[in-house]
Amino acid sequence: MEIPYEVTPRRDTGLFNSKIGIWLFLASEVMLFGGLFSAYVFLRVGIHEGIDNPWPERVQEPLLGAVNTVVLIASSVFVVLAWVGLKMRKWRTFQIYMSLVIGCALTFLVIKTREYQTKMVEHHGINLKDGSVIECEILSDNAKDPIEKRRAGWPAGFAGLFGHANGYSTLKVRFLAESVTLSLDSASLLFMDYAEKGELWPASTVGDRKIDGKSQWEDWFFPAKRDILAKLSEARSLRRDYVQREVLGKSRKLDQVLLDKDLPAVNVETKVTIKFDKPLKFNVPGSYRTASHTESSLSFVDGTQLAGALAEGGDMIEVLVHGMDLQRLPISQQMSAKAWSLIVDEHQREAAKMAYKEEQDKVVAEIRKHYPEGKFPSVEEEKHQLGSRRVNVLHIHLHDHADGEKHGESQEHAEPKKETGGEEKDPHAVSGGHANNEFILARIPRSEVLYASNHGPWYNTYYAIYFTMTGLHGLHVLGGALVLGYMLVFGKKLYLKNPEHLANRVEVGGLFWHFVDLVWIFLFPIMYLM
Amino acid sequence: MSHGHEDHSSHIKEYWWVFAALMFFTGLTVAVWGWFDFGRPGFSAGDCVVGLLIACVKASLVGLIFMHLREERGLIYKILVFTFYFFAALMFLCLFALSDPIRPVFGVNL
Amino acid sequence: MSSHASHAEDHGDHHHDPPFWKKYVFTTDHKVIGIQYGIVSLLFLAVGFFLMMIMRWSIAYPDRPIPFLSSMPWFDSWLDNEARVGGDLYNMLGAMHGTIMIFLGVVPLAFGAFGNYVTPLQIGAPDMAFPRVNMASFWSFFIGGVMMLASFFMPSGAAKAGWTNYSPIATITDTHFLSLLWTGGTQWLLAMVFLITSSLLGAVNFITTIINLRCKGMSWMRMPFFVWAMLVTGFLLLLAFPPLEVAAIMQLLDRTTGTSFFIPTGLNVNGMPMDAAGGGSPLLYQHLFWFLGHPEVYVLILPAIAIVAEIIPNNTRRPLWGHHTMVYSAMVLGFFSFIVWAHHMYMTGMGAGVTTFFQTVTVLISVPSVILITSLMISLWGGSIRFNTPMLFATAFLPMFGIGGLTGLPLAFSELDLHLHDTYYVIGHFHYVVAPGSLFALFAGVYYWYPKHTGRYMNETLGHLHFWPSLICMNGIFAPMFLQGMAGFHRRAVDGGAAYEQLSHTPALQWLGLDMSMIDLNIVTSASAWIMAIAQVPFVINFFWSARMGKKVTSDNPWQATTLEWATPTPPPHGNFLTEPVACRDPYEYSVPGADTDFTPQWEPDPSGTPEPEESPVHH
Repeated sequence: MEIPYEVTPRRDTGLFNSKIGIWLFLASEVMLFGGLFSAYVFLRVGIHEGIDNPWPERVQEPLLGAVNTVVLIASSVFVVLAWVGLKMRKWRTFQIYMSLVIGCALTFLVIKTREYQTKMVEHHGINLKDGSVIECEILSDNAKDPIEKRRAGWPAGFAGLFGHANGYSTLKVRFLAESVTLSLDSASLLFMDYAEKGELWPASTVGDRKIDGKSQWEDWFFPAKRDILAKLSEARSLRRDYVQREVLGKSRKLDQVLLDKDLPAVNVETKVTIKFDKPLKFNVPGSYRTASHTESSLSFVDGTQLAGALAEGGDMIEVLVHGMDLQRLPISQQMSAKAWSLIVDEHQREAAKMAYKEEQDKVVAEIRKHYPEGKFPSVEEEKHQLGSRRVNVLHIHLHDHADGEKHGESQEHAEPKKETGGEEKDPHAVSGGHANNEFILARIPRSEVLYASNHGPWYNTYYAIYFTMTGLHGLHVLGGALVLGYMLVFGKKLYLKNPEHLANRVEVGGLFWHFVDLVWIFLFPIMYLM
Repeated sequence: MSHGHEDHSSHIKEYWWVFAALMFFTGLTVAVWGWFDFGRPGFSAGDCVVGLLIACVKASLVGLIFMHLREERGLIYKILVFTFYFFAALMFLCLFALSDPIRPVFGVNL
Repeated sequence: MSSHASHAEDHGDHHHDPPFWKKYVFTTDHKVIGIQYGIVSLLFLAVGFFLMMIMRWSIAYPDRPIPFLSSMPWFDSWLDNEARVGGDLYNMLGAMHGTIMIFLGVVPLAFGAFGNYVTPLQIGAPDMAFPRVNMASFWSFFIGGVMMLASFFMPSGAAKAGWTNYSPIATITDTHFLSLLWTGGTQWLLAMVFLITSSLLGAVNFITTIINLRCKGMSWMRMPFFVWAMLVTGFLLLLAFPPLEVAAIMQLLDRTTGTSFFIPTGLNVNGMPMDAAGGGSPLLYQHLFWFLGHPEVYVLILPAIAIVAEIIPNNTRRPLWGHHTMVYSAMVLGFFSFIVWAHHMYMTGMGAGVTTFFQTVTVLISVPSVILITSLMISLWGGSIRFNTPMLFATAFLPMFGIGGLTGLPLAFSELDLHLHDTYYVIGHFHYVVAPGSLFALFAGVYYWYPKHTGRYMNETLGHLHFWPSLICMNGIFAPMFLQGMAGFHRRAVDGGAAYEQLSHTPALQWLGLDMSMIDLNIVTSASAWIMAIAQVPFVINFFWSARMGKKVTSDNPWQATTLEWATPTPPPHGNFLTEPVACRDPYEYSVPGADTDFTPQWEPDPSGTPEPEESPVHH
């Protein structure tokens, strides 16, 4: 049996099947990205001034985006030329152009990966409770040398998809536990995943039994758990049988049955405490999804409780400061923001404040210039959100002037800046100290932190929609490249048998490819330039 | 497409011209970001409109020439018209709900 | 080996009997896929119904232990110490009842099963345009369904945030389980991605098939209304589902990686500030969800109307009244269904301007719906009706759907909706549309097309035993809900309002004026539901018994119908038609004056001349 119109177009519609199919598919893709674009507009327009994080404008490096635009457009031309090659029955032309398409796709993906990597690995923002934000890199706990510490690994953001950690909260609580209390009816041994590396499954005492090492822990835990569950279920079924007998059998009201003296109760002690022979170090993301802590205890959400004490500096975070984002503070309060006092070195702090003040004055002057007296009274009186928004608005503009001044910077610092674009180019960014090739170290108590993460999708709604849209787009590029690559590698057989069929396939694949290009044409301005 | 082989070679030139145009418009978009300022300094509604207009021009070039919409059958157009109607409904009705002119009740967009 | 292969090439596939798994499991034949869809979705309907029966016990008898189930291992762990249904379990059952019934029951049965089986036959096509995509669509649906079911057996249980899965509640439910991937909420979202993919693949395939694979002479207006309905439904699925896919992806990211698409600033969870950046919008989720959610209603009902539109002319022996009008109405309906979604969101505090807009279009959309139902009613007029089982269900569909539709009108008005929102009135309204509405039509379809595939009729006596109790019970279930809803009974109360009843006896709270006179109707409803479960037994028996023992059909066209699916052998072979089918006339030519019989099939050559050209100039 053969399906008609697989290769030749139908006379009245003028189309072959897969062409209709691909256009319908593209229609649904339009709605897919349409939904995302709508979400972008909705989230951006729906920002509440003064409550939500301000929308970061123009924080991406446009050069990389522009290069990617060029790459994709070029690949679009190549795919069309590859198709023309097939139509003219020139297999060689097809091969060359299609290889170029695949090359472009790979280039695009490499650039994209690099962009993601800089955001996810090297850049963090710590939102303090007073509204100031420290742009920084968080140092890992173990290393001592700040430069070594910069290499604190890949945050566990994506691990959340697959496991236990919701690692968007990059701040860990370090805890020294002496014992753990497990509710055997619900608990698991997953808490051990948060023990510091090399300290797994310690020698411990439970009741009068000694357990040491993973297998002994498990040998104890699973039978004990089964045991408790069996006891629980026995007690419950006794009680249920009684209730059922009385209520359903004798038609008594439940309220009265519950008052009966011989109603079996369900009271099985499910909590067991295990003492570690020597204190065990834990490193736990302090998130409501994972655990909450006090000075002397740490409770996981499944009911597991650690007793002990916070490790030394357990709730202090050491960071290398890149810049200060004080947009949410009124201009008059920006110089007294909490963030400044957390910089360890007094000399550096003063230098940074000086540099910031200088930039701030420029911003104020700029505002005054653009908004004459009558329209825009004094900056100090302006409601701070409105004012700060305008400050924010100006920073790119100002930066163009600032660029020349910063030219003499040391190589080491120029490099990360180039990769990550606008964040550090903020006029508010601290530039003091950088020129001397020094790092600005700040220590932040956990209690001061409202929210902290790297610049991954969890950082704010802009990054969320940026990663989602570009990520989905990237998946489309990958998918398209796979399909076109398949035609390139395995197409010869079909070409020899029925070249028109292969041409049709390439045309259909090409239509998808152009659509992917088309989406990027819109993504580029709204993600990079607005 | 049911053109002869000769037609295609004449098309090739056209594709490269379109490529050049797209490059030009990409440059223009970046220029809007860097040099020109419409309305307020920095990012503003003016930039937004101009940026999106350029993107639309680019998109139409890709659609009409590369995707052969220029010489495509009416059926495809019908599908696309439907799609854009629904897309517009989604985006603009959402926006309408977000910034309703008649909003005396709570005063805050949730 | 090589000789074997060349043999296959020489003689084509049909001489070879493919192995079992290729013929019945990973098949590309649209009819087998349709039956796969049908059986799986009927099973899911049963599961959804079972969940609802547990809920109904808790509503009717909130202080009695649940019988039978309390000793079932696994299930007992969900009951409280007195073996009653707790709030968590109730939420889980409610959410999954909705999800299963809509996404795994009615839509796959209507669109996947009947659409797949009947559409290519009715347009005279050998198969779907993309048979392998068709197979992928079914298996994607199957995986999604299995994931939904499997989530019941996870430590967290299945999703609990309602079938609408609103954020932020859905984002934070069960996040205390350490492995987020294996919680009900996450699995729900992942399963939805599979189901949406399945629908999209199906929709692309259907539309392409209908556009490009119509047989000779099958011009647009010669297509039966069923095919038209599938075309419109296909477009609804194609264009409405992607925004939901977006919403599902966003919520998945919110849930698992901590983004803030739908998380507002300053949200507290269990007294602790949620450590998310905030700035998102819960309303955005609702917009994206209902942008699918409303067209989905028409995905549920259009195929049902279409099935009825096939059965009524066949059994009244008269042409379908207003075939063209119905086609245009279906198109207008599809068109409008995309711009009415926010009438589900009156309670969110939208402004008066946008509320007025949605109120107006919602009222407007009732016009095409009324045209459809009126055309069907007029089709009955003056016919000599054969009341066989399919016709019984089809005729019952009309008033039931009518009640469902008309009770929806008050909900279109925002002032009334503020009072009725989330009460049993709403439950009653949409269930009248989809339960005695869609489901009756689908049953009618099963009885009607059963002989095409098996060569045997379903048993009439068992059919009557199925129909009459079902009809009575359906009304016993849903009619009291209108009364309760207007008295203010809330749909999500695990005890059916018993807590309020106790309050109403408290003298100090008399001023509240709680009207609890309706609370006993809970028992009427629940009892009807359980009796209806029994009423489905004859159907199940009939379904299997008749396949072997039912009355044999005497021809390939046992109902003496006019559409092309009856021109095929029984059952239709791979490739469907033995000779190339040609559509020579309109689809509903019953009782044509001067004809020999009271039906003139579409494939009967027109004595006046050759068939019309492939394309009629009227359309497209």
